[in-house]
Amino acid sequence: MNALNRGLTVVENVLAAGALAAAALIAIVAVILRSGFGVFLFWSEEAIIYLIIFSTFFGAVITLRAQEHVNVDVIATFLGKRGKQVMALVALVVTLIYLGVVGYFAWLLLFEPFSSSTSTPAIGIPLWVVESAVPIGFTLMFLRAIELLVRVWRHGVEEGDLLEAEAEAIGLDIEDLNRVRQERPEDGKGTGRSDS
Amino acid sequence: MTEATIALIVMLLLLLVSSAPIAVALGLTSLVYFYYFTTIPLTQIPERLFNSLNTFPLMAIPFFVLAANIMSRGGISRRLTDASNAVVGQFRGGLAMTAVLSCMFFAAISGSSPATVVAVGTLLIPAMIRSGYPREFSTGIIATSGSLGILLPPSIPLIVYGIATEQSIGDLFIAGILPGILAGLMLLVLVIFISRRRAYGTGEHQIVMTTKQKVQAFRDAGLSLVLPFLVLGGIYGGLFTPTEAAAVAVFYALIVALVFYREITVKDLGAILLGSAKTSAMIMFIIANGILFTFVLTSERIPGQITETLTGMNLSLFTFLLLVNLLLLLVGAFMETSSAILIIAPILLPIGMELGINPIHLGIIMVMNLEIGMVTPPFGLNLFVASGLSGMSVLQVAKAALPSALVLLAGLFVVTYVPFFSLALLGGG
Repeated sequence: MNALNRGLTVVENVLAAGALAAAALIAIVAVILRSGFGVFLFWSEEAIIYLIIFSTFFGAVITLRAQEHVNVDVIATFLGKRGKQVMALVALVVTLIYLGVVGYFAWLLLFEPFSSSTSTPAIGIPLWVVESAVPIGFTLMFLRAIELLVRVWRHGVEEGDLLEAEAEAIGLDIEDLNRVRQERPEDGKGTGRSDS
Repeated sequence: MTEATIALIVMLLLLLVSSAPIAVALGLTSLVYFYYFTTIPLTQIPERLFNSLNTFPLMAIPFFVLAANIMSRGGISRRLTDASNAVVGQFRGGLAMTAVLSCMFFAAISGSSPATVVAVGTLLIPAMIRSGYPREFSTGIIATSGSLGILLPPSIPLIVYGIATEQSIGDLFIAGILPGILAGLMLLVLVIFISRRRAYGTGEHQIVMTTKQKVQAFRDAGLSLVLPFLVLGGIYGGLFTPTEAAAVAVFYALIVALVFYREITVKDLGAILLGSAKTSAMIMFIIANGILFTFVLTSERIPGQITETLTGMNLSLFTFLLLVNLLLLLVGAFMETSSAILIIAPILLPIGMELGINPIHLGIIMVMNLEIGMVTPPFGLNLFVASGLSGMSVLQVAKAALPSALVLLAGLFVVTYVPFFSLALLGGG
């Protein structure tokens, strides 16, 4: 189960980041070719869109895994540990209903005659191939949401540190942050250290 | 109001309050509407989610997010603070002015005001405290200064507004410039005034730079400050579409970070790509569900009904704008910027048009309001980040940020009632 979890994590990460990288690369090459050499890559827009759609639905799985989908947590801040756990469970059940129902219909959509008989205008791959981002993404999100539900049910809500998440996103170390917190007006006199 | 309208509103509010992700609240409300009030087959929902992302202009968002992440990780914060310090460092209150300027620029390039608070705050809060500024003042000014840099291009909330209301993204970028600069100037005046009056920044650690260091600082920061001009010039000069400009921004950011600044290597790109994919997916997933929800709103004619009700009340332009600001400030204090735009813009736009408000101007008002919500208690994100950073409680930070937040409110008032600031550079106003 753990090996499966780790494997799935790697696949999600590689697909979401890889699709974004590929889309950015195609976009850069297409702009250079068009504005520098007057060459149009007729398939580039379509390829970029589909890659980003894949990156979005796989990325949404990672965001869910990390519990970083934005929400309105007005009430939870006023609740105790137990209350927070109940709120989180309610939110997860709501999420599961949405993911389950839409995911189910997304699979149905894939098997509709229209999806297999239509091809994308520029590249000419069958529509169901690019549409598969939706059912696959929703199914993975559904599995991750169940995993979260079990975790919250057993262990309650883990308090995420907003500051540390932001710092990580811009590549700062936790030690740097701690230094700020410990800064006292009189500290500077001895060290003469300048940060800027 | 019909039964469906009431059901929709109640359901959306309940789901939002349940602390479910905003994207889920929007999507599930639409799902229930499709199921109970229409005969549309439910396979339309995943199809619409797919199709709402299936447009080229939207692709600007992941690319701008990626460019911003490369720049933020690539070491712009230190270079921007150095250059700002080179300009204003020698004046009384120089370090506080440095903080305001660095925050504006960092927010413009990174597109995230909480990230600005962390990046600039980590560098400048210790330096400010050592130079004799109180911790409260230093933290407060950094918590607010990042917020309105978001108006400067490339601005993701403005792209989201452009897509939600079918306005030109290039025009919105241009319109954001003067209000962004105005807010920055007002904050500068405030910190100069306070620093002089209370004799802040007289500590012995005021940083003095030699001419050589200054030239170096300008050259370094100049490389990153080119980015907004490149984007704006490219779009407005007709060279690129906004999405192409975003791709160019990624390319440019890579060159600056890997070749000139060299604080990251190719090996770091994996982590940057993963972080960007996460952020962009979060925004795009909300957009997909938001567009689905907008379809529900319009098929229920909700924006039309609200417009009729309000025009029936004979609201003056002044009162309408005042109500809009109050509503948005409230929403901004509770909800993330892009989600709020997606839900509210389609409702406000038709009313605004009816009253003769320029849609671009309305977009600027919306983004300004929602960004001020970032420094408004109880849930302003910047307050939480600044509180974690400085070790002060959220309430203390909110109190410390109050003077500068009031200045931003005054700026908002001016921009709201004087369309000149939003429209002058577009040749209107």
